[in-house]
Amino acid sequence: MVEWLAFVLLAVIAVGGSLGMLLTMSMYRAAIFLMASFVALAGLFILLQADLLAAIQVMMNVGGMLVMLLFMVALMMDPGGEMMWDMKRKMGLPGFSALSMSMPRSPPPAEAARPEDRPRTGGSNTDWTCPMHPEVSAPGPGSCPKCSMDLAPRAALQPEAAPAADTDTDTYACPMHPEVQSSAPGQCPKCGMNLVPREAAQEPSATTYTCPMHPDVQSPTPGKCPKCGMDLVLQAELQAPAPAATTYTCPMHPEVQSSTPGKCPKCSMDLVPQEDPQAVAGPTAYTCPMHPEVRSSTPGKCPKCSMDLVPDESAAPMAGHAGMQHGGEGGMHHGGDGAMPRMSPAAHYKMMVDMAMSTALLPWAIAIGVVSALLLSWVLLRATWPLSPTGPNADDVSVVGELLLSRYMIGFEGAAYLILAGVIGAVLLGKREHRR
Amino acid sequence: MSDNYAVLATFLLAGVALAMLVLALARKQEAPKAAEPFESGSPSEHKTWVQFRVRYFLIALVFVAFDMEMVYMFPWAVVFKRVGLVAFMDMFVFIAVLAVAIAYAWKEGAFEWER
Amino acid sequence: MDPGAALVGLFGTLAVLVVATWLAAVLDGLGRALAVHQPVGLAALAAAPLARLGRLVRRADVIPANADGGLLWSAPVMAVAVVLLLAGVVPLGPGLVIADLNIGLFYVIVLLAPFVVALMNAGWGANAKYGVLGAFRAAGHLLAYEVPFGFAAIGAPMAAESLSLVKIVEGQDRLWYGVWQPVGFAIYLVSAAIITYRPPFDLPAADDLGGGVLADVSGPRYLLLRGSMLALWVLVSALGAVLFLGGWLGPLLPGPVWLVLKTAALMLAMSWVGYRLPRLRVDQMLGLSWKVLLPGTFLHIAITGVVILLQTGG
Repeated sequence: MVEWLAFVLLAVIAVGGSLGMLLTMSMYRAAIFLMASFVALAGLFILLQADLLAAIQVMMNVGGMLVMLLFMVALMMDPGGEMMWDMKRKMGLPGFSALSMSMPRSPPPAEAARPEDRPRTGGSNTDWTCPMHPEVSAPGPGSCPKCSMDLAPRAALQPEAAPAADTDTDTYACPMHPEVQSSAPGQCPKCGMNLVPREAAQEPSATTYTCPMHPDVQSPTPGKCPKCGMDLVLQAELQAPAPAATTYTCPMHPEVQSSTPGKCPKCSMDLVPQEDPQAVAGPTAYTCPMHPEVRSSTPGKCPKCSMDLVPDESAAPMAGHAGMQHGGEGGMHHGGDGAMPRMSPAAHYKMMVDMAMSTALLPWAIAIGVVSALLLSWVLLRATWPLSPTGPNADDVSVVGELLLSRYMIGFEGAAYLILAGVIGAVLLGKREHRR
Repeated sequence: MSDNYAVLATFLLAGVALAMLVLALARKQEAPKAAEPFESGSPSEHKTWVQFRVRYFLIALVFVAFDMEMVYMFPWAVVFKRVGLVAFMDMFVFIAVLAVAIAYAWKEGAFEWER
Repeated sequence: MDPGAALVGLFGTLAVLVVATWLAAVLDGLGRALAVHQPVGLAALAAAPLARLGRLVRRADVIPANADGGLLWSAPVMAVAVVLLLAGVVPLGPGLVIADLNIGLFYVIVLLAPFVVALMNAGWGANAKYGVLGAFRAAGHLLAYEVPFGFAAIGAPMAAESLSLVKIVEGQDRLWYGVWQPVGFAIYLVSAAIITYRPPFDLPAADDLGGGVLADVSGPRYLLLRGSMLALWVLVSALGAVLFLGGWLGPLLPGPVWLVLKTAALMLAMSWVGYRLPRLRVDQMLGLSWKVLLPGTFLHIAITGVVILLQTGG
């Protein structure tokens, strides 16, 4: 009875851990969930009287997962899943994806709430602040209540943060509820999303509405999707340009251009439509993510740190960028923001997933994964390791040791050579990565 | 044997319950300012969970290999005395191969703090 | 073991652990005082942890904004659970052991890794700079301690022909393993200092990061994490006494007293030496582990093997 209870509990943890791993957006959480799942499996082994195997299971998986975790943090742009969580909250995505993350407790990531970001997103220059205390905000000149210094216009203090385009004349609309319109930035009264500027091109007559989940559903008026009953949303990308003029580009590598949809040759991400090729080829300035003073009209390397230059978004303001709030100048910066707001939420979501999962090493990772899966299944098929409860009390450590030194001696030495091969492979991979 | 693990399972449950109890009884902080992460007094800026290149990831790879090795060592150690010289030679070859692995990784600079 | 005895064992273990944690805090302070030649009364040393306990219990449990609550929650739970699971297998005296496992030593080595995960969860879950940096340092600790720790400990089962901690102690009735396996013993102590985050290897929770993984942990949560770190130190030291100093074996005094004395001696030595040394950076610690300790363990295993072969005449 107790065994059954333990079995059910462990099985629930194992399955729940796997599900949690699949559903979470946080790479860190995924690793911890997987670890929990494997530890629960180890508990099942103990129920089967195979405690040595259980211990091996725990040791290998906890050690291995931790190493995997380090790699994920090194390779992923959003290892905590924060960015994606934020995006999902803004888009109000339905379904399973909405379940997948509930972690940061307070709504906004730190940047969005900070007053110094306001000029960038709001476009208002009337905010006066203290040069020493940026949290001080006043509608006009005066002296700081904290240090009595003269206040200065915030925009004057932060010239680089001042918006390049005057957005005051734009109207603002909710990406989800196009009927909500406002002359000033703010939140949608229906869903709390940030309003995004609407471009002059979005004349109501030319507007198409589509379902976030079913892009083939199109309608000239807002309404419900006939397939899933969701509210239709504005689809800007289908409006003006003729299909022939559309070029496709990689969200991460703007230099990649193609006339047909497909994968980026550099990072295998899906290419996204780009409405106006000249916007990228022409006036866009490229800048170094680390050295904002470096500017260039063509992509290339930064002369100071030889990082790849990225398109400078302050020079090429994109509609709807205010709603995205990628934030984080410290390392989260990348080009390609420009392409995002024009996509449907579903495509946008897919791209964000791509962004988090994709690295240039992806083909290598897949190859290694396939080879190790094949090796593992081969070992499992060949194994006559008598660890099942039907054998003689075979999980006894000394029995395993004697087997290792007699029938399975080749496994012993073979393991040493495997480890040697593994170390050499790791070093080679590491050096390759180092050169990159 | 399962008797032992039943007791240890009780210990596990007791540990989880104890920690949860202490956390549940703890007084919660209400003041929103107190929830700001500690950064030596300066306000918290930028995201924390960013791409971070840990400098020891090569060691991490080598570690996984040696972690595996330990699994072999323990059953071997238990029967070492009984089997005698054969076991010793066997482990000698094993360790020699591993020493080559270590020497190679060392020579290639895997144990150096990468740049 | 019937349920009643198991419950007695559970509460006995809890009581022993609480006292041992207090003792560990006292020994920590004593070692520090000795190392810096700072005269401190024993009464003051003994009272300091209790005063700290009182403060921590009354303090509020602050959860940082934007924290991953689940991970923050899991950290103290995992840490306490690991400590209790480890305490269940340490033999205090002949017959005085909760669970004498067939794979005892391997079980201990395996369970040390989840403790690292617990600390990492505390650091990463806080979603704060210092905590996350501390978590990366803690991961570095895992890479540094586990392999030398396991290989150093392997001398004992080689001689005792068993992984059971009780049998390992019984195998030392003529000569402690620490006496003829000094290399293994030394490496064990160093890697034990790494896994228990003792100085000079206390970087994951060190002051230079404002407390590292514990920087944004406060109140009872801090108490649980810090307390289980101290308790882990006691347990790993007790395991050192079991593996290399003959556990409960000794003349005149009863077995548990001997084990406590040996454990306390090891802890005081670790604390005293540790506080005299400068902190090691993570890269220096990894270098020490892989360039000095690991080749040292190969030597240790070879010497131990030769001695056993000569002894048995094989």
